Amino acid sequence: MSAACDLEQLESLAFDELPLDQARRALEHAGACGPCGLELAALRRERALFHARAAARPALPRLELFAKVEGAAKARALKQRARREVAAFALCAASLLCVVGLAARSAHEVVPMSASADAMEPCTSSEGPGYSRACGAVASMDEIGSLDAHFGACLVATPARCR
Amino acid sequence: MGFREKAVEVPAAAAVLALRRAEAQAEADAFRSLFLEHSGAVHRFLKDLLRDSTLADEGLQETFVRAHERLGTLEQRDRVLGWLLGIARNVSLELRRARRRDGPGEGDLRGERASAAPSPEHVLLGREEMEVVERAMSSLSEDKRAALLLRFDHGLPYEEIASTLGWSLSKAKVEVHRARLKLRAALDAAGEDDGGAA
Repeated sequence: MSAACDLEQLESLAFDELPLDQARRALEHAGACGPCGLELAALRRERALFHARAAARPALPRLELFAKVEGAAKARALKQRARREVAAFALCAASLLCVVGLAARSAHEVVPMSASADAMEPCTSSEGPGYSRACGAVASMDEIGSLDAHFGACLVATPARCR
Repeated sequence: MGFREKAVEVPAAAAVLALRRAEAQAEADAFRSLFLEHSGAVHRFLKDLLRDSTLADEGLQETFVRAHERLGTLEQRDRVLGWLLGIARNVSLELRRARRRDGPGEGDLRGERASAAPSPEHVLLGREEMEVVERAMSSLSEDKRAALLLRFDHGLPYEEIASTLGWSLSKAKVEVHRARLKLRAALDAAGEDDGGAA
């Protein structure tokens, strides 16, 4: 073996992967270099062995097999489609339930806020009344009215009224 | 106005429908030619990996069913064989795992019986030489065997072997080289034995 010996190139030559001019040069080198000649012969022998082995395999009943594969592919596609449809239906149903649930909840929530007098402070905002810790808690209108009068602050009843 | 819109819509819908039908037909034809062209190579690869005809038949069907599902994802049409063999290898690994889990089944016994009798390839190639190849192949690890088959049996370039097996290019080269050295040593030893016997 010398610096000119290139085993990868020899393999590419044995597998007919080299362009014509490179193949000619590699072939010339293998003809002149003993180890490369032997390596090329061994590679060709091994490749021929695999080719012969493949060619000797009995032919498959391909059309018959294709009918089975086609049937199985269609069945699986149908199954997947059905699964997707069930998933989509479940998603729609869940969304609908959420919407109905939210609508029912908002219909029952006349006054969504609540406040307990212990948790409140009078409004100290420089912008004037309109903000309180009561915002976000649930209370009845009467309770809010009494708290409002007691603290002198605007205790908001709904988030929309929070400023 | 409404009438005019409808008049345009109907032929357009029919054209879309016809186009979809034509696309589906073209896809079915492409799949059929894909199967007819490559099923032999895929079956051979599966049989070499699994060493069982029944499992290889099963694997072939599963490989092409998966290929049918993923046909749209195939980017390089010229690399279709590598793509199919990559699916086949995954299928073979799954079948092997399932077989290990379920224990040796009827298929294995059938495979053993089949290997005891001379196969057509044994008869054609010379039983001794083929047995040497088979012995050398079965002594290789699954990875090395797959790499050697992809290179020598199916003629895939190293880049494709690497992407098929999910390896780096250098690993693909090293594994094929090591497998080949083992095969060569077995063939040389068998050759020397024959020479000695003669």
